[in-house]
Amino acid sequence: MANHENAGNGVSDGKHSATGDDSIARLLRLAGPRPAVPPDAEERVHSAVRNEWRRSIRQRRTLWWSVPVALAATIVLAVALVSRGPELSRAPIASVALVDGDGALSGGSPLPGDEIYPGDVITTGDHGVALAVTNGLSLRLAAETTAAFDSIEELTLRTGRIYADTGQSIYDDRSITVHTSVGSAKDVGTRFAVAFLDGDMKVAVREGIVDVSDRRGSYTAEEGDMLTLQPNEDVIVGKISPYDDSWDWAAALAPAFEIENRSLLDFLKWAARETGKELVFENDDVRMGAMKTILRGSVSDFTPAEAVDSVVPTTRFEHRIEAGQIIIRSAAQ
Amino acid sequence: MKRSQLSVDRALARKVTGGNSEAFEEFFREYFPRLYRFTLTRVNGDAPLAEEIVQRTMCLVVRKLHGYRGEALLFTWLCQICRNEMSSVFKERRMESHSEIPLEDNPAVQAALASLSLDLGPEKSQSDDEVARFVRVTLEYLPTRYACALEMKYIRGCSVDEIGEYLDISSKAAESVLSRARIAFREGFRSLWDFEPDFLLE
Repeated sequence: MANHENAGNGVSDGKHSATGDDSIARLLRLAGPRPAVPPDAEERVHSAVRNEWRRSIRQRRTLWWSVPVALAATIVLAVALVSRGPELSRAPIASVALVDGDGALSGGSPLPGDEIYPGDVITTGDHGVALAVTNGLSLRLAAETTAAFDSIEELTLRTGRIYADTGQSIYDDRSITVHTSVGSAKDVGTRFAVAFLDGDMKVAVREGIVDVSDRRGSYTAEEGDMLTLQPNEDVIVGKISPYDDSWDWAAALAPAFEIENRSLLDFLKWAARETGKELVFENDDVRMGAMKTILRGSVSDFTPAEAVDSVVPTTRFEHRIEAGQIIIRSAAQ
Repeated sequence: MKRSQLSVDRALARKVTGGNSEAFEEFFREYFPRLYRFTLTRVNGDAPLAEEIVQRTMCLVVRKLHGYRGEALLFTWLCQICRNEMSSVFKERRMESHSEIPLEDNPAVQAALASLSLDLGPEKSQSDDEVARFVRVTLEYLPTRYACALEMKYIRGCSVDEIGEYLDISSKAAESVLSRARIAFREGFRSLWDFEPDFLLE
């Protein structure tokens, strides 16, 4: 232990003394033999892999010949599509990524994988629904929500609550405008929620800026603002914290984070963002350690908060939630 | 070691994707046992499951080998694909993967080292299993013949003649392989874990 710091310098003296060789011998004896590989398993796998390899070689050779033919076919098909008008090129604008909630789905409820086309109306019923929009935007509809998808950038909220996350990248050109009969909310790169219940429209901004307008004028809502719009009334401006309980329904519909082979740091950043909390490390060493800790398994059935509770204890770190912060420190020895 | 091994790996991958049968056999002989042991330690010693995962991995690999660009060792690349396949199998069967982060997973080396340096104290004997895992993982990263030569010499106590016979080379060549294997082990260990193997014995 005394020379631990020197031992890690990676410098070789190029010599391999008898003592050095002896240490290799001792280590190998200590480790013992590696597990044997069953010959019959090797034979079975060999046969399967060899067949697959032969198939892939044949396919690749065929592919070389078929590329010019495929190119020609593509050109013909493109010409056909253009001449037959736009209805054939109608593309989905989103798909159902997740359906949340207890109880069985009714016949008319959206199912995971369902595609949404311009003009479609979604009614969520008893279940919250998360949509993956083809431009990368994440839309979440609470239970008892009805929304009409006018286009990839506009939807009309007839009743219920909707949450939009247009992502963090400033280079993305994602935008969504949510209309209600009272007014409209257009994001400017943000995360926000619009609720339209009993004739009141509420726009809550978790991050970024949202342009809101009604018949009386237009307003800019910033992070932490909650605007309430009512027919023929002045706008009421209130405040909402990014980790207020009222965001929980949206967190429950967060797209699953695949933790396999991702760092603890990436995972925590995602969880912090989804829960609206600030991620704080005890010190830089802990942050570095989180960056170098690679996770395995899955947390797809957990909410972000549940995922943090189940993942962090499996590492050499511990966490606590305090005043809107997720605080990470080294686990007590 | 790493740089020359990368060029060896690239050449082998090129030959396999080019349809060379000998190269395929070499590829399989070299990597199946290593991948099998890699998987076995991650599925609690469940041999049939390890076999299935390795088969899925290798079938996928032979289809995707043309995409191997030689930026990492072929074995590292295979392990990454194997981890993904393992994860898929766990998901398909709703199995729980190990919640514990494997000590030897390369990107987590520093974390593993930190825990190791804590464990290797007065109660050093308690961490023999960890030491064994460091050693075994290092052996898996060596070319098969080097790992075999070291195992035969130091664990099974075989003579140089016996090693030569097993590897189908002369005794003199076996001695040379053994010597290179020792250097490769030491360098591989240092490269994987960033400390000298002797540290584990201190």
